[in-house]
Amino acid sequence: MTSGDDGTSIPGVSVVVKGSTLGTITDMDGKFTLKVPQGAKTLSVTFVGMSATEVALTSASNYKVVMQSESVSVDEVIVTAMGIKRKPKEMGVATAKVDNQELTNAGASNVMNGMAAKVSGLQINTINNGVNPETKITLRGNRHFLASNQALVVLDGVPVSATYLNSINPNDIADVNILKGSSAAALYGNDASNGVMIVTTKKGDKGKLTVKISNITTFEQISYLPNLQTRFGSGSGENQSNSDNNYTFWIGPDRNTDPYTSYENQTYGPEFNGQMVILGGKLVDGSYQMVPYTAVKDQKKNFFNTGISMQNDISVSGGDNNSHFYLSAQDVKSTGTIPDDTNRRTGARMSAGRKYGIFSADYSISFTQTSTSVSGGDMYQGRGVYWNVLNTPPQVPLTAYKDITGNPFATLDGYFNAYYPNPYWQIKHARNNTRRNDVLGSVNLTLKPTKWLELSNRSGLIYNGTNYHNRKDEAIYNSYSQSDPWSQGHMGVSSPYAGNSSDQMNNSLILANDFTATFDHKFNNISVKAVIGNSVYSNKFEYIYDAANGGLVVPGLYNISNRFGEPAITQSTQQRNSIGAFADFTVGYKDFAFLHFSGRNDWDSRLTKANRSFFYPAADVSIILSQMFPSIISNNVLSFLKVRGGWSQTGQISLGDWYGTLPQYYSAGGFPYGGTAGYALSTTLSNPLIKPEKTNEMEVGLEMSFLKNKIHLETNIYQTKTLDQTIPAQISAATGYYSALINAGELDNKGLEADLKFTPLLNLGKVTWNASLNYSYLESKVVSIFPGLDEISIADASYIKVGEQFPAIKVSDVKRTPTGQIIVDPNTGQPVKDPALQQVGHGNPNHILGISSDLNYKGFRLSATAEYRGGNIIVNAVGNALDFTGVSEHSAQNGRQPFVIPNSVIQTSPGVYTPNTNILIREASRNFWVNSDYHNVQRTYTTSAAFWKLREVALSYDVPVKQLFGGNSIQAAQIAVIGRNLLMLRPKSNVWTDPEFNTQGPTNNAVGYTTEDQTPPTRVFGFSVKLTF
Amino acid sequence: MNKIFITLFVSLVLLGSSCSDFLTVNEVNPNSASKVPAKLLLPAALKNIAANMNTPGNYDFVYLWHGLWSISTGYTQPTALMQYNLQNTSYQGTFSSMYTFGQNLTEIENGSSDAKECNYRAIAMILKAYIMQNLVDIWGDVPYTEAFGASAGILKPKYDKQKDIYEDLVKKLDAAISLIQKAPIDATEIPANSDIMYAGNMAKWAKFANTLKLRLLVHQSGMTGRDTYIKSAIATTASVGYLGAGEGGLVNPGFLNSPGKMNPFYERYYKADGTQQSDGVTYHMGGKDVIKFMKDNADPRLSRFFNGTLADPTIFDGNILGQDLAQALAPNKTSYLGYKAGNQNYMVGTFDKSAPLLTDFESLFIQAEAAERGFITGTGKTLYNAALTQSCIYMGLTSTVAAAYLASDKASVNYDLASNKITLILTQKWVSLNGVAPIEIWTDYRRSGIPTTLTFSSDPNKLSPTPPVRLLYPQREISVNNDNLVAVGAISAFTSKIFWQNR
Repeated sequence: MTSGDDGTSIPGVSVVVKGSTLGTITDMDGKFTLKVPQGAKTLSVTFVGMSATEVALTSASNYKVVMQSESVSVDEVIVTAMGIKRKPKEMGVATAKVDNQELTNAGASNVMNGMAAKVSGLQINTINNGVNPETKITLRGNRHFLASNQALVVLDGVPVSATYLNSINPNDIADVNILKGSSAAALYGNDASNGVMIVTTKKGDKGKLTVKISNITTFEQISYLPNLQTRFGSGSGENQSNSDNNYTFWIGPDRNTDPYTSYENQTYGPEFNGQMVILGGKLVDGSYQMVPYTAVKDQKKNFFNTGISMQNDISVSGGDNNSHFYLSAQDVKSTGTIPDDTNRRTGARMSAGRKYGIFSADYSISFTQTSTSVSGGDMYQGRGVYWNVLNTPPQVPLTAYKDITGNPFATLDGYFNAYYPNPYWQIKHARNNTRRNDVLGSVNLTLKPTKWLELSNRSGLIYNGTNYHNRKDEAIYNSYSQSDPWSQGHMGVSSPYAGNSSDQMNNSLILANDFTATFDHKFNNISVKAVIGNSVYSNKFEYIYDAANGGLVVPGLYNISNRFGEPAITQSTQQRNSIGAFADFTVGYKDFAFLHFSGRNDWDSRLTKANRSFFYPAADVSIILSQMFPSIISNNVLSFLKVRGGWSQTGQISLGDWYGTLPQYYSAGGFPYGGTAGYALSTTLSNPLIKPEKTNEMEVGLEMSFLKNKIHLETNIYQTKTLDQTIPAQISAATGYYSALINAGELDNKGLEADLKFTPLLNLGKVTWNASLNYSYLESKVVSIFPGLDEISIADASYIKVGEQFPAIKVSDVKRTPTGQIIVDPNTGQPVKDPALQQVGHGNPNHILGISSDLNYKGFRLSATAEYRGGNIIVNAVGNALDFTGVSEHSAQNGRQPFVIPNSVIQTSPGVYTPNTNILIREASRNFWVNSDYHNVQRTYTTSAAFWKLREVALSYDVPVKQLFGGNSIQAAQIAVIGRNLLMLRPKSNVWTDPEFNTQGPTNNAVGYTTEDQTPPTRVFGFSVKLTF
Repeated sequence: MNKIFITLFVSLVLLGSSCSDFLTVNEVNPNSASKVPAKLLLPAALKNIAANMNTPGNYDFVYLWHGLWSISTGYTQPTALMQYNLQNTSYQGTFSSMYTFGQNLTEIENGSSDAKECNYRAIAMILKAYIMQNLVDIWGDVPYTEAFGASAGILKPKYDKQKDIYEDLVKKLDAAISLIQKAPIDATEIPANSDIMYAGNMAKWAKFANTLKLRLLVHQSGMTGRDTYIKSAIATTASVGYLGAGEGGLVNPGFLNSPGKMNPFYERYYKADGTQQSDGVTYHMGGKDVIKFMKDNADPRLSRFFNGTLADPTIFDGNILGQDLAQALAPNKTSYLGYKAGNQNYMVGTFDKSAPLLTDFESLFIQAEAAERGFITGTGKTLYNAALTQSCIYMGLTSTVAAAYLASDKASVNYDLASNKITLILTQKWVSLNGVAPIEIWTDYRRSGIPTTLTFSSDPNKLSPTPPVRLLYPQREISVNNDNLVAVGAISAFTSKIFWQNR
């Protein structure tokens, strides 16, 4: 096997008997040996970077094959905006493609999880754990202050929201084309500024009927709990001897800690000593429980289950020259790490098409139902399960309270904790259930009357109906609990709970129609492709919400009619329509220089007539230097070189309320009271002059291949400037309004992306090792907001702050010296809270590095993907919660003995500081970790958000079924063991949780903040079996 | 056949893209009204103002600072309040809400320029004077002449001098009274489901306005050389009279026993099913000064303002703010705020108790003081006795009980025995307004130093012996209207007194 370029031999070339899976690869010398069956006619020879070729088999036993290198590295088609297909060499802007193999490699049941770390410029965050986790997806960072920065997803030509991807079966996806910048996406008009992911589902291939069946079974376990202490038990300073129930009040030998309190949630009691103590109080019948005063091993970890997910798939596909069809069904059934959490997604998809001469028609339709049940907030303070687990002192045998009816100490009244309920009780009695139905259908009609003209019309329909049904049972305490037995405020005194039931029904319908006419012609050296088209889009969203806020009458009947008092009811309808007209023009010279322009004008109903129409231009150029000047590749080091550049201007209407240009009078709080209605003006001053936010983007890129395309490097640098941000600028309340909706402010991004691929990195004949690296650098800057306004709070600790990266993280802090040392009081050793919030960093990473490795040996394949992110910070508010309860190792770091705050100083005179070496925090137990300013400020729990994660590992084996069973029934079989997020490395300072998590939802731009509402991170491992018939 | 395809194709495309009203769908909002009449704005404005004034969390600092309430020792004590350590973020919500209520009143005013709509216009003017008075009493100089100017493009209104605002409010109230008096015969009558305070009774609105005006003027009684102005201002509308027994301004939209629809004071403490709110009555508890004063005087209202302790219902006792917890009363040995299920004559009241803007007894106390100071005709004793009687009646006691109380042998009750009538009136006013009119309690103390026997916070780290004389300007204003705020000058919570404070 030799190269046509230089005559050298090529190792690692795949040689397969055509029509079978029988094959081999060439050895180090480029030689191969293959036994072919009788009747075999052709050998199919393929190698990355070389044109595939075929060798006709004769009776000869030796064959010399010369392979020719491909003119471009990857000659495939890229689906760009509006379904316009362009060749990679034409592209003047960055795109990337993730195929099905990469997506489903590690058995992710969620499309987005399968994409993480695989492409530069793409950031995917799982924002919380759970049976149906939410993910946030951005391309090249944030462009908008307050509006969503999630990438637009176009599924089979129909624009859908990014969250829709959660309902799609990853196995149905053929590939995902990623248009990283707004330039490539500009033709999508209004929603394109955040970049676009074009998802194409599978179609049946030509040939015989193929049936695929697979099962993926995975197990999910808590991987990292926050660091917990095992030295101290219950106590919070109450004087239990003063109460009428004086059981086991005692003060430990260490006077610094609190006395033991049998019913306390906080863990500031004496050090464990193993003696038997009463836990909780006596029950009405006088019985009580005794436990050894020592930490229960893995007490909190054992609360969590091993979640199990079973994913079963079947697909049937086939086709011929004029038709194709694909049918699939999938069922994913999962249980969570929190007991009783479940999720089930069941879906089916069908697509088919037929060609009649110049006319062809294709359609696809899919239906998915997703049912989720998770535990809700408790009936006392509405806290999540995790909070109530954290409020369990270490000596409590937590898992013993699983039986909430059989174990008298697990009941509402019998539970030891006077302030927080048994989490197992909560799990059974507070449930949030969701059922989501998704239908997506599209019909594509194409007419190709001549060779150079194609007319195409695509109609799409996306329906989503989601029902939420949340219920909380009544919590009625017995008279003993209500009598406040310890006179310290048992939750039974202040909050018997009458139950609640609420429902929400959402439905949304998107109808979209695109028409395009494509002219494609070549005049000698000049190729011309022109597309004109129009686009019509309509989106209607409605919801109705009700809640029996006054409590439920008949226990266990979760119906709005079964209530005390007036129900809460809200209803909303939002609709928006738009029409777009666009043109796209590509001219190529000699197949190595390409110039591309596009323009689109939108008319959008959300804006008032004067601002309704707006235009988005884009242009890019691509020059393949290696083809233009072939001499530069003559040395065989460089094999391909392309330079490119692009510019675009896109717009986005960022009105949260689609009627935001109108003044709004609402039914005022509490109204109506029977026949008395009352209205009040919105506190946001409406603005009929709102216009779209404008994003200007520029990028240049370089694509290079070396050593016969074995090494491929693609780099981009880009800059985006987004102006006229839509912001509800806070204004003086004395105007009568809290805020005014205006267009102002600018957010800039600068970035660099590099994708390096080795195909292969190593080739040892039977062993091949491919590897790739992708790196993204992104730096954002808030240039301006509004004259006189230099910051806006988004949520949590996130701010839009002029001159800073976006979003800036501002936290409360103790007073520090200019060099960051903590200033303490010379008498008490205590730091003092600084009244001003301090900006200490930003929430989005500057650096993202993805590494993938793929090792093949015979039928075995070992692949792995790892990711690093860094440069950003996170506020682990869960750390504050953990110190409040006292279960954290952080709160026991000094053994609750007097200590000097590390790196602290004393101010001797204004601006003069001396190191503090001997002024101790004397009350170094509860008083410090619960009440001090050091505990109360967020800075104490703010750390670097950097991490390394081993995202995916998969070891698969292609069973040689043909050899084993012959080729009649089973065509292919693969078994694999898979793992996801097996390993996470964090800086030592982050002893709390996964910095990828976030409290806000995927469309909120506040990031870098986690609380006890985010359960601990998990790892997933399992196996899969895939059979093809 | 190809022609058929082409025809089919083109007709489908045309079908898909023709629609006439396609781009005008957002010109009518299906979710909220783009314009509503004054009739619908008024009840919301009234309810919102009353809710602000009657939400305990908005003004609990007044009760806590002036010996009326305490925080249960079962809770972390509010260090900032104990130390009088106000921040620009402390209690700033009222500033913003009052102005948004004012914007709704401005909408009523602007929509009622027609002479026939004079009643709506007058009420809007009166209520605006009411909110502006509260804003001045809390913050001193505040935006006034340039407030509510967003539609004219004024997003950073300047701050006006507090005295100028007060003087203009008096003129506005005169104008409102005049509007009511000169209403055309066919003036639009306001239905009871719009005027949820006086059911359209404009004579009462005139008296309300005149009482409010008297309140503004009496506030200034401590100022040197102000008597002439006060007297002449009172004289212009003296004939209108003031709110008398049974004429108090009480707002009730028809409170319902449902979350978010109850009397806001009650809803802070109790739920629709009659159970307690979390951290409700177990949080705000009785204050030592007032309970001691009432016990010393055998005040029959004591058991209505407070409950006996959990440990012993016959014992009433309270704590002092900032007290050393070791000496403080345990929660079960401290009085709760007065509550009896279904009885609105206790402080906590009921879900459907009306929320007062200005009670009849407050009006009578103001009149008593004004008479005592020679501002109005009438005798101090009659008005004082009437005030206390109405307070007793408000707390569900009979006038006979009130009369017996007034005949007490205590100089701190019996008018005739009191050596200083103003001290008597304002001390009993302090007792009576507990849970009813917090800003007036604070204002009366600031301008007069009465009651003279308050203990104040026992926190050794408090920043001043006596409570702040004002709140600090909201952080919001510093952020978005700083230039105008800077023009006001430096502000201290202890020395930047409201203009009427002359002591």
